Amino acid sequence: MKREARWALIALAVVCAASAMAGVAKGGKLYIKGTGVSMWDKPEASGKKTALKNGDEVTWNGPSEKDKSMHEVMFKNKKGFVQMANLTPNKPADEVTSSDGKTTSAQAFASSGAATKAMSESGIKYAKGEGPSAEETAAGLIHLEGSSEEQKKNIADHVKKAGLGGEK
Amino acid sequence: MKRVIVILSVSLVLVNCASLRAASSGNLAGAAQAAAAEAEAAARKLKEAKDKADADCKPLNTRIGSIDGDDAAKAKALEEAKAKGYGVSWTEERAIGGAIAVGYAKTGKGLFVDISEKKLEELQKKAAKDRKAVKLSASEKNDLNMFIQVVGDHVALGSTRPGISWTFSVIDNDDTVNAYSTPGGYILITTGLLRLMENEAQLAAVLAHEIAHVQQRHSIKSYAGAKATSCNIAVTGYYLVEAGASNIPGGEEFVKNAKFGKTMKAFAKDNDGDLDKNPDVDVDFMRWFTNRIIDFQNLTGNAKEDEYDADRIGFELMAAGGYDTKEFDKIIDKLPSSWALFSHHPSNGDRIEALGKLRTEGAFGADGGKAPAFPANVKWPPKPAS
Repeated sequence: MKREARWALIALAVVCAASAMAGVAKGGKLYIKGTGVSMWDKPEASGKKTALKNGDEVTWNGPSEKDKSMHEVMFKNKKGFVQMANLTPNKPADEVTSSDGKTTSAQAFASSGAATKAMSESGIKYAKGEGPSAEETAAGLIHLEGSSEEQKKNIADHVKKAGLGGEK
Repeated sequence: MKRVIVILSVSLVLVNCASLRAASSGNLAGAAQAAAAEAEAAARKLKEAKDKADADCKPLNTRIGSIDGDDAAKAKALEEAKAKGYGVSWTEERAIGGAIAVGYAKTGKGLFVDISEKKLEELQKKAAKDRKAVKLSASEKNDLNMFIQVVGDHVALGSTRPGISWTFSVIDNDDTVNAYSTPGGYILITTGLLRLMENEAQLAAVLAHEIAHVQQRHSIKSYAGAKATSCNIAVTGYYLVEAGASNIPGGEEFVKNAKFGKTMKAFAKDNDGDLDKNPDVDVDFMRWFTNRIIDFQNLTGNAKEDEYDADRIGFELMAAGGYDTKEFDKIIDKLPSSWALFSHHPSNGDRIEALGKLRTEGAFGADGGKAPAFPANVKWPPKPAS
């Protein structure tokens, strides 16, 4: 390959990598994450507030200078402030439910109970084929799956204790 | 003459009767002719077997966007495949993900966890009824696991897949600095990597990067590719054996895997890839299939652009968790540089530079997060392996 062509390819690869790294800019869309989320009229988690729902779309205007963990947003033409830990660029996506690519909505998927299926028969078969240490590993994963379900109720408490969010 | 001898040697190695008969009767030219004819017949049989396997495995190859056609058609097929999740349903994703997670987690000293019940049958029964029935007892190791689960689940709530059941776990391996994600939302992290971390935000960074791989279905793409390749190999072997051509030159790798051809044929055809429902999926098949998938993943890794993608989304997921994304750079900087030399990971410097660009542009996550210390009830760093 000629040197020029090689450099052109390298430059293209750099451009591709850089474009893959574009984030959400001010004026972009974010979504509300969590339940019982408030939009405050000032950049502090107390005072006058508007209730927002999980999945509500807001326009992001950047962090407040006063408290950078409070972010200015616009919701239905109303300006306010939301804690950073209650915002996400990701809207829950549909889940693939069949090999032809058919999907079901994230909400329907979550309420169907399919997501909470534990370690499958196939995983157990693999562990049995691999011997005692793999069987013990599979047993450990089944414990962790059960524990993970239990820990979900501790998230809000942890977030508050760690100072990542929560009402004052 | 020299060529005739070489051909004769080859034909002898292949232990073929016609050429041997010709050679033993002193007819070297005849032996060469016979060997050439036999080689041609072998190549024909191999091609026929491969063609049949191609037809049987076509659905799997189509689902990953591997089609014949010009560049535009191929690019379109790839986009469609991605949009359809590479034809891997949640049921299939969860089934293979659990097996792969066992494969990764059994490395080193196994999982870093204290468990009370080790009999799989008992656990299966309990978990099938209610997975909450299988709990962790209190211990230092388990406190660490529960902390990692809370942080992981908190970060995953900001992903596009908040509703799947994520499983976060620790591998007892001080010698390896690594983290893994599998289809189905299993995230595993070694004690070797945990030891490098100084605060919760650095843990969140690593978990967020792995969650991003699952969100973007990078590991599913890799799995679906390995599944299609495995199908072609095993089904070709199946047809070679069926045609009585087990010993033909060039067919060794296929024939070695022939016993799994029938199951792979069915797998390619049917039932949304549900491994659990396929009666031919037994212990032997799962060992063969899962280890092939793991070997393939270890060999190829994720593509470089997928790693950058996981870093960008990881950065955003950290922010959505309320964490300081500058801690992402700090933990990347501590990773061994061999990651970039022996895998498809970009260099640590390139990754940090790309994250810095997000901050320069003032993207969401550039500013405003926290880096909490590890909670007092969690012993950190994790107790060294005895």
